[in-house]
Amino acid sequence: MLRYFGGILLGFLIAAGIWTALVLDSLGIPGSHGDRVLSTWYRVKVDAARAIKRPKIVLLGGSNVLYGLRASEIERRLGIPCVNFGTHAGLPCAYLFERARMILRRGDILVLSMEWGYLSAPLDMVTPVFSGRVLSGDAPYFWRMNPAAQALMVFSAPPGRLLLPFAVGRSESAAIQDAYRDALLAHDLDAQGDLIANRPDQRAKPVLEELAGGHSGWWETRGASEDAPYWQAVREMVVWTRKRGIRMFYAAPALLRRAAEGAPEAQRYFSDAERHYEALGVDVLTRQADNFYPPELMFDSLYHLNAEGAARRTEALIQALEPAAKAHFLKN
Amino acid sequence: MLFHSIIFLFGFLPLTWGVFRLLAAVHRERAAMGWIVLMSLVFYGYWNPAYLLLIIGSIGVNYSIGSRIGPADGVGSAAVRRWLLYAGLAFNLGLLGYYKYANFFIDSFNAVSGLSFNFTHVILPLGISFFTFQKIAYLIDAYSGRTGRYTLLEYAFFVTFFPQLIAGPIVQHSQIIPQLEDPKTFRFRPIDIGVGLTIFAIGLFKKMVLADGSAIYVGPVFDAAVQGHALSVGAAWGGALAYTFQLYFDFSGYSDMAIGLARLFGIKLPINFDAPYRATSIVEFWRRWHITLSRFLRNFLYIPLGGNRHGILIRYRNLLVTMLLGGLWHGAGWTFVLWGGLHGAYLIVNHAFDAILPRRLASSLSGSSLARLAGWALTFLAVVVAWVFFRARDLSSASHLLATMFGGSSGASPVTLDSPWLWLAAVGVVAFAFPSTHDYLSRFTPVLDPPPERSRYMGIAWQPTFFHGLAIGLLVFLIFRKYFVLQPTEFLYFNF
Repeated sequence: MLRYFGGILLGFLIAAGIWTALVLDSLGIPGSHGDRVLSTWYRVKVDAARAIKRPKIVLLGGSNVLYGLRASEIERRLGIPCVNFGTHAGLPCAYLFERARMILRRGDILVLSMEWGYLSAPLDMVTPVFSGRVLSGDAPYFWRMNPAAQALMVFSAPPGRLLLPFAVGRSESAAIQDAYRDALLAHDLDAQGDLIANRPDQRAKPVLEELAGGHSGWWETRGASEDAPYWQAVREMVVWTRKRGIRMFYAAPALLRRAAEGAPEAQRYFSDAERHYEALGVDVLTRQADNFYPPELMFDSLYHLNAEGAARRTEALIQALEPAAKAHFLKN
Repeated sequence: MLFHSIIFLFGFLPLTWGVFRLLAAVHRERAAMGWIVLMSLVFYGYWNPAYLLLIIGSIGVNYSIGSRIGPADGVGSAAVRRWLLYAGLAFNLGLLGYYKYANFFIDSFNAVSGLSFNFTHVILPLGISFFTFQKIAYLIDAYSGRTGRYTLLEYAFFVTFFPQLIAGPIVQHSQIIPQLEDPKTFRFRPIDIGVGLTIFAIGLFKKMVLADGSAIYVGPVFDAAVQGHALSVGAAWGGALAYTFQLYFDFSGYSDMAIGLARLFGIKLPINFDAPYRATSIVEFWRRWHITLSRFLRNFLYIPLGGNRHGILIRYRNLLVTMLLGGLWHGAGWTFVLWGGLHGAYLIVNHAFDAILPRRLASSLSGSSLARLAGWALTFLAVVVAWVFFRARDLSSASHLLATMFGGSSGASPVTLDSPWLWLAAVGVVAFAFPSTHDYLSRFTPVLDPPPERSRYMGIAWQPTFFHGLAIGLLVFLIFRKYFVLQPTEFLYFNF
């Protein structure tokens, strides 16, 4: 019987070893369409940010920023270079902040517009989106993660990833990524990283109707309390930006207007959070109370505006940002 | 507490097993049994402590009646004993009716009458359908003098033994209590650990890898049918087939886990699944699917209704009634009733076909591979169609899905669905061609009443060797990996 259990242990270790080796061998190769799109977004946005040689405005958040703000319009109106660094709220806050640090330079402005779920989520939560992103396009980040998070990512990888190096190969994958970039830049993204594919005539009306009766319940979490990990991350970001002469602002995300988030306890939660930002020295440009949008201006989710909604939200942000931005850039 | 939850695997099970083995090693068999009963109640109460009162009270009432109604108990005349039996049956069926069916019957009455009676929404106690049947069987056997003089502890062990408490197999007192009276049961045998853990690992693999892996292709299709969205023919078939495999691997995985866990404690449970999707007729399907339920329905419903003793028409009526009630047992909803009715109709057709087929032709057909293949295909198709009703939220979504499966797509689907075909091919190979768990473990008689050994699997049958360990180690890794990917989901059969 001991031999049998020894066999089980060895079989387990061999399988785990083979699995780990194959996942590590696939690092840097995007596996799914979603991984490829996310990798391309980052590539376009990082290229856009690095091409700017003077102080700039960086819009940071999940997809509420990607869909709902127009960096190109801000740049045109304020005459200051601007990059839309919004990507996906399935990526953890720690990752979004770290990636932003890589493109922020002395004298920049950072406009933070984080989805509300971040306030109660673990800072480095491994989600399928995050795992796909890191394994597909950010090997250096993978190697910097702690062993538990690495193990989580390796063992949660979909089985299809194991075959990627054999099925696709690195050089072929790079060619596919180039084709993705060309296609996305032709149809979906502008050079500043704004999503331009959210045309009002293509909005997902049934999804929005279904969402209208929903209830997010963010205010039932401890997210608004000062000891939440999210606030610690924001606090560290404030210190980091101050050291580099970077000015940090907060702009509330766009939300579909519905009864649940209009309730007094929800409003209290939003205003408490905004007070936390201010207490940390992050000026609030736009508040949640002014950022509820009707279904006609939304695209396909609680946070996603369509192009018309994005234009309206961007206009409000420009109005709020202009004096502070001009003063900041004059000083620098 | 779920069998695949971390708290069960690394807390409850080692503690329960360790103390049980310790007590058994010092020959405190009754204390060991008492410990299992106590921990089984903890296992049950972990879900909702309030329902502990229900199960404890029900054990008390049933034991008290059961020990007084036997012909040799001498507590009263035959009429008194009969009335006590009726009272016991009414008590059990009343509890089941209240907790499981009250809302269903009131809703149905309201729908038919146009009235609006209100009734407090009752939460279904876990496993009530399973342990109610066990208690009913015990009462009927006690009345007929087919039970021994069991102690309350033995009876409580038979009802509450945690591996089978929530979702079966539905055990009979005569299968469990005699094992408790055998001192060998309490003796530590390393082979019990090997066999028990192996069956448990296979069950866990079926549940976490095969059933949960199939589930991702099921929900979107059935949800789209509820919304009335158009579906392609392929998507509709894919969803129906994925559910066919999900349910099988989920429930047979649970049964395997229960059988494996029981074996760790030296107890054998009855076989519950015998590769049902390889059946070549519906009659054979019901000899292979949820065997302990089929046996219960046959012994305590079909035969008392008259079985096949009063002519063909009465036999068919009995089949239909048995299957309709079997459907209702699975869930308080018209989709379940229809599923049961459909299987009743299948059985009638199957028996009628057997009856009209000349004996010589039947015997030559049973030896023909082509006829067996056709029988298998027809049986599997009939089973898949019936599962659509079983899974569908309502009759209209079931009809919509079936209309798409057989009538073609009704337009472009607004829903993007992952292709399930590669996955279905893989799980299909496991369901159709791999040895069943008890085939694989057949050298060590893993279950009570095992089917005959299938010689084609003997070459790969399990032995506690290094190489079989390697194979099971691979399964254990694939299970382990799933803990990183998904949160444990409940077993489908907990709902029944």
